[in-house]
Amino acid sequence: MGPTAERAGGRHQDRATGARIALVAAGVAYALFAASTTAFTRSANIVTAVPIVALVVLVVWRWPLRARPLKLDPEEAPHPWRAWVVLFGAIVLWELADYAARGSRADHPTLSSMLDAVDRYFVLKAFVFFLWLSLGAAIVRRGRGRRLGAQQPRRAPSEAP
Amino acid sequence: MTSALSYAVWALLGLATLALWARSRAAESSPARPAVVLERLASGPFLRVALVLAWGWAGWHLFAR
Repeated sequence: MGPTAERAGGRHQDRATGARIALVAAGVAYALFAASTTAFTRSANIVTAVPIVALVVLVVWRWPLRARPLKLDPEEAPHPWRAWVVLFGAIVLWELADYAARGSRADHPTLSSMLDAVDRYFVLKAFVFFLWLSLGAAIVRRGRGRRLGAQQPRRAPSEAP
Repeated sequence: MTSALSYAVWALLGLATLALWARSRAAESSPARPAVVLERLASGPFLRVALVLAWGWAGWHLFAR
């Protein structure tokens, strides 16, 4: 690679880093603003609806129309999803068991009741809101079909480019 | 007593999540990394719709209702 190409690559990387920092700063500012609203009010509805509508617009715009499910090389990763499915199933089962149990919510806390307790603190609510926004951004990015950078999935040999 | 049991199970599930996350980052690990799991969900024809709906519902349930 020549020095001109290296400089162009460096500028592109700088721009990408700058855009990422600006996006994170905007997300933090928005989460702080959202944390100042109160549930069951119009302001909370609007501040929550805006990212939901934005994500729907982005996935319709950026995601390919025909989905190609990711497949990993079975020799390298024989059961890549199994542990996650089991863990997710256990969380769902325990959530349902607590939700259906007789007694107070304090005796049988659900994920949302525990997060309600967290949301009483401004900084923690802002942090949870920022995590939610970050997950939304990751969903949009991963669904575009772009290959992962440092986390290159182990694809089946038949799918290798 | 019941609340202690419930919180203990939640704590165990949280620890299991962290352990699985850490294990997935090992070089020769079998479980996929969280980013790969998310890519798998976001690239399935039905799963990607469920993923977007679940994300939107979670946000609405937690912050607006």
